[in-house]
Amino acid sequence: MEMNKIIRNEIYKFFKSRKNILIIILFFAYLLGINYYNSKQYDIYMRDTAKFYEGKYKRAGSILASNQLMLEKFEDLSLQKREELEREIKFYSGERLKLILISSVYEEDNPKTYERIVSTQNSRYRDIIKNIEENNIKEEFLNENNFTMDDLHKGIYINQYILDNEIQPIINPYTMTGANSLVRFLDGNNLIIIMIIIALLSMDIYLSEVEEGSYKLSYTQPYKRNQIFFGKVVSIIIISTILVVVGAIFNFAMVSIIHGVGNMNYPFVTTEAINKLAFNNQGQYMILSLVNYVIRGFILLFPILLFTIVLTLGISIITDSSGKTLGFSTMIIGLAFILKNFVSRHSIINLIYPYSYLYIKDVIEVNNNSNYLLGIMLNSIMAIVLFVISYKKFIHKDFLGSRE
Amino acid sequence: MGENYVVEVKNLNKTYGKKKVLDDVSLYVKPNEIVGFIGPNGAGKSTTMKCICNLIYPDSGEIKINGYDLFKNREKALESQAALIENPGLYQDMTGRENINMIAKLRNISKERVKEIYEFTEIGEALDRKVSGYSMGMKQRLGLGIAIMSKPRFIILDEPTSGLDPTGIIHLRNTIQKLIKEEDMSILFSSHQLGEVEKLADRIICINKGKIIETPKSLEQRYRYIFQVNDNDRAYKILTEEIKIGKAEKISTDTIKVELDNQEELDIILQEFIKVKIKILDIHKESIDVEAVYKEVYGDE
Repeated sequence: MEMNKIIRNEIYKFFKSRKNILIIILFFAYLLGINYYNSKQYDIYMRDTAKFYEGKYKRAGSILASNQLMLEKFEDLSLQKREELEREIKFYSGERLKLILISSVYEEDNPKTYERIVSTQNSRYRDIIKNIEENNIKEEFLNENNFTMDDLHKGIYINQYILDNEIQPIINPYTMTGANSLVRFLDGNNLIIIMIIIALLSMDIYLSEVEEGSYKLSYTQPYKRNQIFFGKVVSIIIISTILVVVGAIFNFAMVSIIHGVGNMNYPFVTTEAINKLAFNNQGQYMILSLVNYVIRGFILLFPILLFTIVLTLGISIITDSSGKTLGFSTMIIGLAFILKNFVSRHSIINLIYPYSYLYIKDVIEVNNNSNYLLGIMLNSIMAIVLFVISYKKFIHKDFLGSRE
Repeated sequence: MGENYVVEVKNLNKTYGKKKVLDDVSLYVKPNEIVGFIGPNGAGKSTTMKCICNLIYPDSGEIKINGYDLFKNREKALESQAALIENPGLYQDMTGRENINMIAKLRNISKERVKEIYEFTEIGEALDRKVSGYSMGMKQRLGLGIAIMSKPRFIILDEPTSGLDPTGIIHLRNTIQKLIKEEDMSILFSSHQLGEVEKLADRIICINKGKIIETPKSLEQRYRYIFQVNDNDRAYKILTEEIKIGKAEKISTDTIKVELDNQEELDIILQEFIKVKIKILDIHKESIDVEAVYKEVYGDE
């Protein structure tokens, strides 16, 4: 029996299921909801960031005051200590000014002044690097501010590019433009939700027939078990891919119509390691346009999508249970969120855990020790391995039935 | 394939964990035959039937359907077969019509045949309602319609009367009898409704604890007829000395009981009696008390 007939039949059955239609409707409702949420988050982010820098400004002020007091009160300090304190005072004086300037731009929220943030941050980063290299401030300063030397160098590189090319900076990740909506679509937390939705649809393509007993109609038709299996896998891959792409386009179109397309060439920074299979991310910095970033993002997303589909299908074939399948799948996918928030950027888990690669921004911008090409390879290989395991299980499975 | 059987099962074995659910099961079904498959719950009836539909893989053994080995040539073997296992397997979110059309498309069934099946199901306007709203009888009729759509040579019916009311049971019985006559099919069916087994089955197979039980003589070959004729002696002589068909026994001065191997032998006897001008006053199939035999075989189980 022709495979394309079987695949079309599977797609037909999929769209006849009320549950699946409801999930798809919920998916688009989620996209609408998340965009509404993002639009509300814009102002909150500006306000919170202004307060954040204001807080840092006050802390810098405290350190400055404390150091000045020490210089005044303790006359028996050594010369070396005095010089240290003076260098710190000099650093924190400059730091305070920069921090309050940044805070005020966030508070004012005037796009014409965004460039000041970029130039001020650049100056700040250069200052920090110089003062660390000259031992004027300790390296703990980096941990306190949650960045590394590499982050600072990268920041200078991208900021300078923005200034040199007179690009309108994006200082708020919730900026509502079509272009930024594509970047937000590829945000790790968003993709976790999307993968869970794909898992729900993937398990249904097998389990719905087991649970309602309709497998007795389909699996006794005169075609091979492997054709049934391939039909299911190929059809859910087609459906899931189309759903994700249409979701991204829907998102982009909706935001663009309301807020404008934005700059499709907005720069992102990465390193040469993105084009190499490497276990360290050394190499020259380079700029990627937003379009390039999004394309690479979807290229990385596709093997993760395949992995999700065969993982869920495999668990459903082994367990014959919706509850267990959903539980295991959600746990494995959701673990990426926990690892992102509790595990160090430099942990090897970022390299070897398939769903760590859902945090596409970190992978492409080389913010942790994951590797772009390794992410594609790892997810592809694991998808193939799980496919073979699921295939063998399905081909030899006894359908004992009577769950309906 | 022995003796032109539609289905031949040889030495099936199946074990789950430590429990042997099928122990050297062998059976056959001839063309145009209705075979009843009886046994207590857990005897192995459904497991055997699921093996024949390839929903379950036996550990060892051979199954041939219409001459094709099920494990070496699944597609050809299943082309000649259809199955209704336990409750009909239907897509609940689809209408009856959609269920039929979906399988029709997969099996390349002609539009004329599909229309015949719409009528066969006798569901009427409810064909355009979702199956989830159907009664058990409607689901059974729909399932049977889909099963016969491709004109299989052989149908498996596992507990077809389960959940049906008396009207449904009668309707199903009539449908099965019609299928044998008009659609040239063989049927293997299991049921706990021993009355239905008695009315329908030409032959009965007993299974218990995974083993086929030697069928009591009283249940073997159900082609037993009682003839009431105008010339008993002549009729007896023709049967025993001339055409030598079956095993004949004089029961009374005007009745003979004849035990035959198949339906064709009955036709030969009737033609011969007409030729020699023996008048047949009455002819009927001998009924067997299946319930009594069941108790004999299974005791209190």
